[in-house]
Amino acid sequence: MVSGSVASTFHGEIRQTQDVDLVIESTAHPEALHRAFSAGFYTPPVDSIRTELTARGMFNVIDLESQWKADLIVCKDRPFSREEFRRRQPATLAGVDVHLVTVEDSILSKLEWALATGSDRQRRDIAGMLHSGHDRIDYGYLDRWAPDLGVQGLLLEIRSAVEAED
Amino acid sequence: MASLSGEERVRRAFQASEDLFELSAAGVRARNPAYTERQVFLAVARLIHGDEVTRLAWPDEALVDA
Repeated sequence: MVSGSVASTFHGEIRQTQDVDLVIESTAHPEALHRAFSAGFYTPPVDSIRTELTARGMFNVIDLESQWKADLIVCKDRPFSREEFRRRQPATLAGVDVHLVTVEDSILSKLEWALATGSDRQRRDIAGMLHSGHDRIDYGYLDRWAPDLGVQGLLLEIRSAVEAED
Repeated sequence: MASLSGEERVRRAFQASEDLFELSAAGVRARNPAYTERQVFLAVARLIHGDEVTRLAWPDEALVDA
């Protein structure tokens, strides 16, 4: 499932990036993942991939020609992450059929990142999605999950700022 | 920009990233006219990804100053 800045660009406002965030299931096979990226990519050793899958961590693959980097993030074992993954939607990006995180789940994930890191970039991404998608966002869904994730205060703050600008 | 489709926004973001790569490469070439294209490529990798990732991805090649 495509997530991160590519998803927030799809749902919100354009941001330059050199990374693509991909959320993968923990049941993925390390050997198959390694094989999938073996030709023309930097890929960690199979044992490292296995360790990250077990720990629900992350690892990188890099296209050695274009230098594009993908962060493969293993889906966390918690209700929100399972729901986020279940709600993924089909999309076409650069001519490729993919699954994409929904706008609501992208906002919630970035709220967590913004709270954890204090990143202005994450806040701008969230504001962009709230601004661009205001007429199609399921605010009930946001309000349902935000307290569980501890981000309701930040959601209210950014949402108020966006509504004031609009 | 809000009137663009999501796919078009992503296409433009990817294009902006490609443009940044080319701009970075042009800067490296201007500062280091004696560099080969491979050295320019590796210098840009270091600029974009940092030393740790560049060493992992291209372990047999030396780090190149930008």
